[in-house]
Amino acid sequence: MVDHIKFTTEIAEDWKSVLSLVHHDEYNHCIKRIQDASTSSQLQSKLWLVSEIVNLGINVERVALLAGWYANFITPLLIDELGVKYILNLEIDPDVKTLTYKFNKRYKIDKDRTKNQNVVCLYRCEMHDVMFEPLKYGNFDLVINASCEHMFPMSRFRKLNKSKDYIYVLQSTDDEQWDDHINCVSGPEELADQAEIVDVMYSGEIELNNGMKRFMVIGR
Amino acid sequence: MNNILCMKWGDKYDDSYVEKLKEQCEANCSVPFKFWCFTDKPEKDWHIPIPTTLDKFYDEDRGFFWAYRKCYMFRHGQISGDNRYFPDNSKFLFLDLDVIIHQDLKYFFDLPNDKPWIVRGWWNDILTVKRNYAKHKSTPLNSSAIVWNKDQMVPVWNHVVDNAEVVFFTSPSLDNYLAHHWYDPWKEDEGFLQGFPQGDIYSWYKGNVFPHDMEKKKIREDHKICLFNNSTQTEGVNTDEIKELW
Repeated sequence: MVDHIKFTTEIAEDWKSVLSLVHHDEYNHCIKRIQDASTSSQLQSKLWLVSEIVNLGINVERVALLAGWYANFITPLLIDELGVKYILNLEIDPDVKTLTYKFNKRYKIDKDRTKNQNVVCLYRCEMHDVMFEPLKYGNFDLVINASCEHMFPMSRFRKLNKSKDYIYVLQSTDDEQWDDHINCVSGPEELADQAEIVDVMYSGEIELNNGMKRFMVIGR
Repeated sequence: MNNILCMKWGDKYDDSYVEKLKEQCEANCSVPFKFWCFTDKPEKDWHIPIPTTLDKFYDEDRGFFWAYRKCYMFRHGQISGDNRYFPDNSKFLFLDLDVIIHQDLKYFFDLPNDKPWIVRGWWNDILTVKRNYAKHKSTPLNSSAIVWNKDQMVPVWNHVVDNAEVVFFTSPSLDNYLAHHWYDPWKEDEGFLQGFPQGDIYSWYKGNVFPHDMEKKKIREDHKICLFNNSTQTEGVNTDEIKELW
């Protein structure tokens, strides 16, 4: 079971630079969201996600992260625990791009680091609405969407990218109290149905520290 | 050819709103124009029937304020069963029914036509717009007034039709949809749509320009149009407050 993040000096440096940035006027409006992305419940759901991938023994090198937000927890977890080599975070919020690169600066594509061949992983964030356009590059092992409650059902993503045989890792909730939870589900079965997953490798639910019920499905 | 369009469906506004808007346009436009009303109850020769092809995508239970019928104005072709058509050089000014016109509408037909124009709600705090962008809240745009040349908005129509299921599910309003797909709050000069400049259009319920001119329920006659659109109102409910100012 994966139950912690390795809080290295590099992480400390990157996360501190986020805090410095959001105290400038230009990014002041992001403070609340940075707090919301840094809760124990956020970490809990990402630890659960990575733990189950480890348990399934899935070999992952390239990950498409849909609506990954700041990817502050999931990026180091995927790299440290699964040895992932490349993560592409597809987002719609331009402020996220700046801040997620701060959070994950140590992994951002860097010409000098690439030349030195010391790079263990590359992290990239692109502005791309995955419910309207197919992925530009298709060679991913895993598609993670831990924000399904905020989006149209994943069947649409499958339709747009129908030639690809990805393994999907999906999370959602039945917590309807928030305006932006536009697609809550009753349980992991409905989540799998929405994504037209027929080969279910994992299905489960947990209650997060904030009381929210979280569902997860892994499968094809 | 200049055209002023409006749209009326359901019972939120009575016929007096259409008549009053037409009267205001006739009193405040110094260039020739034709006035048209898209309506679900066509009775007059300047009425155009509203199609229903998008109705099946609208889910009333979601509680979204989806003025999707406005999208029909952006199509290239004629309305089915209606033999009228707009010539290629047509210009359009759409106005919501609940507006007060203060100045000559010629201004809108004389605007440069490199891009369509829409109300940029300058009363919005742009930081709130950015903060709520991914939540599909706090849109900076308001579709109560739009200016375009014939076919200039066809890409919007095509995008809505091609993605109707997702668009209707995800976007709580037409304004929100337009702000996400055809405008960029981070680079306001670079979107497909451009906002009318400050000083053109203000809101009765929300103010004029954030943060320094935000007094509500104040008439500003040096502006061209006052909007009464209030997205906090429940769909189908109208206070008729505007009638006291006609």
